[in-house]
Amino acid sequence: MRQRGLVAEVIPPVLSLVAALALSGLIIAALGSSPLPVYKALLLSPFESLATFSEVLVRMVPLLLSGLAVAVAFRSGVFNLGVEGQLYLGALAAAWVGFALAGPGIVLILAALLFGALVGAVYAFLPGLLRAYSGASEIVTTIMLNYVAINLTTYLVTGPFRAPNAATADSEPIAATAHLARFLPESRAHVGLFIALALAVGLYILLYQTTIGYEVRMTGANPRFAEYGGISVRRTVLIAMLLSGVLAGLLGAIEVLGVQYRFRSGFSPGYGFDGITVALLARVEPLAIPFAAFLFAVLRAGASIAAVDTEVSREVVDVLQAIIILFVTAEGLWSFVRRRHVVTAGQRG
Amino acid sequence: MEEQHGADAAPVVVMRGITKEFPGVIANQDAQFDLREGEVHALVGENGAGKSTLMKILFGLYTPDAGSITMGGSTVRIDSPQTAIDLGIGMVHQHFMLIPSLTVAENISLGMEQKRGPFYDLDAAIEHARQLSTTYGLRVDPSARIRDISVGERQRVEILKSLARGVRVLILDEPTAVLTPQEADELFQVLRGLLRQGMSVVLITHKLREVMNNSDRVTVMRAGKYVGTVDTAATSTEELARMMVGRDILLRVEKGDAQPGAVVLQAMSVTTEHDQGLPAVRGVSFEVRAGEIYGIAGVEGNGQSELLEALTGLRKTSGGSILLNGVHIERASARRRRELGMAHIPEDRLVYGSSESSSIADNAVIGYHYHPPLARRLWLATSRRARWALDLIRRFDIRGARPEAPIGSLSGGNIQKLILAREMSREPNLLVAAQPTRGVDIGAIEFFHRKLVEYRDAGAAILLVSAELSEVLALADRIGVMFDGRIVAEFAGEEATEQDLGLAMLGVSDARRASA
Ligand SMILES: Nc1ncnc2c1ncn2[C@@H]1O[C@H](COP(=O)(O)OP(=O)(O)OP(=O)(O)O)[C@@H](O)[C@H]1O
Ligand SMILES: [Mg+2]
Repeated sequence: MRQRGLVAEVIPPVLSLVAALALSGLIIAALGSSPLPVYKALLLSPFESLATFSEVLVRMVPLLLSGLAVAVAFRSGVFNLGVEGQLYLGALAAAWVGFALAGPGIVLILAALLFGALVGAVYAFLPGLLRAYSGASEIVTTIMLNYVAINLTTYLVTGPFRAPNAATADSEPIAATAHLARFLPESRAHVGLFIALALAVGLYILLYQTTIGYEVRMTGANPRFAEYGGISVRRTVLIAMLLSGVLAGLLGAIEVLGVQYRFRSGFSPGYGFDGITVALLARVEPLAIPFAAFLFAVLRAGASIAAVDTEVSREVVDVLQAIIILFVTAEGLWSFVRRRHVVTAGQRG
Repeated sequence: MEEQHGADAAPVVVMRGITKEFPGVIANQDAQFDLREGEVHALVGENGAGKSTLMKILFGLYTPDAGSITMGGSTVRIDSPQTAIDLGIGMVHQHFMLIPSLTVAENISLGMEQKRGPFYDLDAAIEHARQLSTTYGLRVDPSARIRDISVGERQRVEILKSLARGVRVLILDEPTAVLTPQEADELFQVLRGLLRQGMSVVLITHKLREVMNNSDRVTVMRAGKYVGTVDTAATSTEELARMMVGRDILLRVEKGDAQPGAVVLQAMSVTTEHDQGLPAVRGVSFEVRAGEIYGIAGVEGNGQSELLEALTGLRKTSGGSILLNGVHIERASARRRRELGMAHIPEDRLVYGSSESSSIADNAVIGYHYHPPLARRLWLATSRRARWALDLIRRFDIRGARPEAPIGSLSGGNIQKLILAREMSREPNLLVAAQPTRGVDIGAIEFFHRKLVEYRDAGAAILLVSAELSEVLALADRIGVMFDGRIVAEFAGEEATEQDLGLAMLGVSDARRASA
């Protein structure tokens, strides 16, 4: 993957993007509108003002973290479809630290992040254990555990943790000292972005510069080869799931400390699943994930603007967005599958 | 083969000036090849010489950068395997392309299904497969699933798949590398039948004996270039070897007497099961001493593979004990066994021996990736790893290899050479080698055999399993013969003959336990 030339890496996704835009254009034209204003709204409007651009940065953070969470599990050959549940629990854990404990801001923030990460990790560890020791498919268990987590957190904020006079299912607000700092005037962009970027670099270093990362990569690439080489596949899968859960938990925590300032039931529009797309778009390479998350965030922000500013309806915009994502990811998915393809019979001549 | 074809036989395929470059490697450079009707044309050359690439070009898997292909006098453009098949060209890859969960008949008819109404006509497919099977004398069970049949049968299915599509030209890329000698003989019987029906065959192989016995002409390639084409009847293995390698090759192993020392590996009543739970090894006891090569011979499927997997930690034992330098290891992890000085060349280089999509450097360090000099605590020593890989590439002459390239870009034999290099690099005190020279060229075999003897003389214990009786006979100081999950006879290396071993391998009981 990393060995191929940069040009060879960049051209296919760009071509898919062009193809997707062409197809979308046809659809818009068929509906009797002009494609150009829609393109403009979708792709360019997010860059028109600092306000819209900083919204892109805000949206990008959870997408980036979710992409990393999915990627680290993927690299060990495990599909963590439970990021959604893990991030809800992480978010509630962080919110609890924020409203139930007191202390200087930095201590509170660190405690909230750590607790969120821990809870996310524990929750990912469970399906990891089931997969490693009983062979239960993590695809099934992680999805089921999502429902448990989402309903459990909703229950907790409608019951025990409910804010005294809130009309909605929200927790109490967290202490103002626990808010993550904002770094652009008049905008919600917060330093969680830098934490997320640092984590992407950290994951890259982990995967390519450490023995654990090596074991994760070999386990994902060919588990029988890993086992033969003295790597414990079970242990490695568990480590990867733990890391994935840490990232998912941090996602939830950072959303609470940086944007929501409380736990809101149902606050995630499916970040955990978007992470799959983001990871595939980035060919499961940590350093490419920020770019994929950015593109995804631009599309998301652009879609909101396009729905308001152009004559095409929200539904059509959603379809266009889906086409673009599908085209760009299918290419990534294809090369990922090809890369993981393990030959099972006979030998190469 | 029995009839000779003169120069008057019409060429069915002519390839001229073929050049194909991969990033950093010129796989074919102005290569040429022609195939006459009704001949077996062997294609030989060192690992990485470009044989597979040239034939993949003919089969439409790669597009050449330059060169032309003509068939029956007119130039053709073969841009996909489908085009090749339409032109009557079929190819059986060493790494089979069958779908394990489907039946033989389904695999054969894949892509050309007969329908009954809107439904797939399974009975027709089975009937069709049965007909083909009898017409061409290729025994298969049409309703068996691919995953349940042997490698030899899978290969027959691959050939039938081509025949079902009406090909006239059959390319076989190292067809006998994974076959037992009996299966190989059968394959050549079948090929003779096909030739009589006017087919033409390209045979890629590293076994010069096979070339001499079964081909009409031989084309030799070296470093991507065409060296020459000779009539088989007018050449010899020595001459072919010289054309391939560019120097004389020692086809015999030179070794002195073994000086056995302390027992390194001791197996006592080891038993283990097949994946399906049936007994595979039924109480095997033997020992390998420092400074000796212990060979295990046997017809494939008599428990050799499972025994080796049990010894190396890839398969659980169900009874007995295994001692490595006096330490019980029957429950030890693969890592622990390595730490105690065991190295393992696995039988299947793509399933256990390598990770196709990972880099050569990643493949070169496994097993040793976590301690110095390749790592310090949790940190990989990245630059030292690259140097380590380069050192292996240089010492074992692995062609076309760069540490950062995926190992899947190497030729089959060069992948095997990297595995040999990796497993020998740490100077293990026990080397377990299963089919170590499968798909490896004669020059590399010579080198590897010399190294094995060197290691032995330096005091290493070596356990060798090979389907090539000649390899076992040439190298082993003692030979155990496995039959039906047991070691039924043991011979001293210099006393054993191919005949003795052959009888014992068939379980003939009066093959007495000779001096051990
Ligand atoms: N897909 C590929 N990408 C990059 N390099 C390749 C690829 N396929 C082959 N090569 C390179 O081209 C050269 C020729 O390879 P090829 O597989 O044709 O050799 P071969 O003669 O079949 O060898 P062997 O006897 O080991 O099978 C090798 O150096 C190999 O590394
Ligand atoms: Mg080859």
